Amino acid sequence: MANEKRKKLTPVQQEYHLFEKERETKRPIVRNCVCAFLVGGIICTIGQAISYFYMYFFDFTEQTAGNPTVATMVFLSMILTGLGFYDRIAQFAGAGSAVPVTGFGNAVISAAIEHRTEGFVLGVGSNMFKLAGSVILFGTFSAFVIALVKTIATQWGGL
Amino acid sequence: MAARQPFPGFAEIHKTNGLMEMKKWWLAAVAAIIATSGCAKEETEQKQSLQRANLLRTHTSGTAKHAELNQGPAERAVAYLRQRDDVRDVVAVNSGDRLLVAYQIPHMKRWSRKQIEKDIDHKLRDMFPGYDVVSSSDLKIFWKTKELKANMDNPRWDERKFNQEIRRIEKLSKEQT
Repeated sequence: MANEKRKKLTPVQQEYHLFEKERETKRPIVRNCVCAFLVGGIICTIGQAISYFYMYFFDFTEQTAGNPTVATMVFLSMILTGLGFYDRIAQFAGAGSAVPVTGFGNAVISAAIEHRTEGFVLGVGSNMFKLAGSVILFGTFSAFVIALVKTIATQWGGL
Repeated sequence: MAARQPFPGFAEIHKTNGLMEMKKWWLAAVAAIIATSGCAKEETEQKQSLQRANLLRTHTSGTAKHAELNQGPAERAVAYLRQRDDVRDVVAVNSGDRLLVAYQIPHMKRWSRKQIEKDIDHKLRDMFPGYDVVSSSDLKIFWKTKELKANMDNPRWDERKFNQEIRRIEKLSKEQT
């Protein structure tokens, strides 16, 4: 907690804060980073292999193979989430499984499973994009901002 | 004498399960790393690479049929691109007024891929003004062009099919979606 905030706390609260800090479980940050790096890398390697598969066996170029690859990866992660396997991977890998596009499929399906009991329309239908909605919104918005920056840089910046 | 416990304690079960779970995960991780590092060797990729092959040789039989198609422009394009340090591998074919050039850019130079592509395209168009030049750094186009070149050695090679294939690759290289 920031020092300024801590000053506003009562002595009892400060004491409790110190008591809690001594006993809280330390987060293994380095281990988490290594796990995220390894699992994220493995997911990307699988994605690259799928991309090569589409290029080799179908008429997709390096540029166009991205679309079916993303669709396949999202579909696979949806299946794995439904089977309950992706949750285990996520527990081990953390951001390594959430940041790649597979995390999007996981966010959609896990929300759908969670709200299944509330019915298909008001439960699954309205809550399916509860988590993934923010990904779509901020993804679209950041793409727009970057496109704007690129346009300005290339049109007037002379890049 | 302490009474023998019929069942292990909760903490003990938890610990054993946790260890087994960890072991499983590590085994899966090690297997995945071995599998992916095995793939990274890119054996087929190396076999397909034309770095050691004689790129200038387009026909071996020396029959009149193969000699009909002069590959001079393609050879010159290959010779020029091989001099450049931003090109790792190159393959080219030509037929009629069409010149198809496919090349690969070294991995770390792919940051400036668009610029390199633009520069190469301009240079090739300047070098071969009478030709309809199609150049691409796409791996799929590279594979297809290499396959096309290899087929020229085939005794059942047909110029009409060859031109059709060039047109198909040209169309593929312009595809955006």
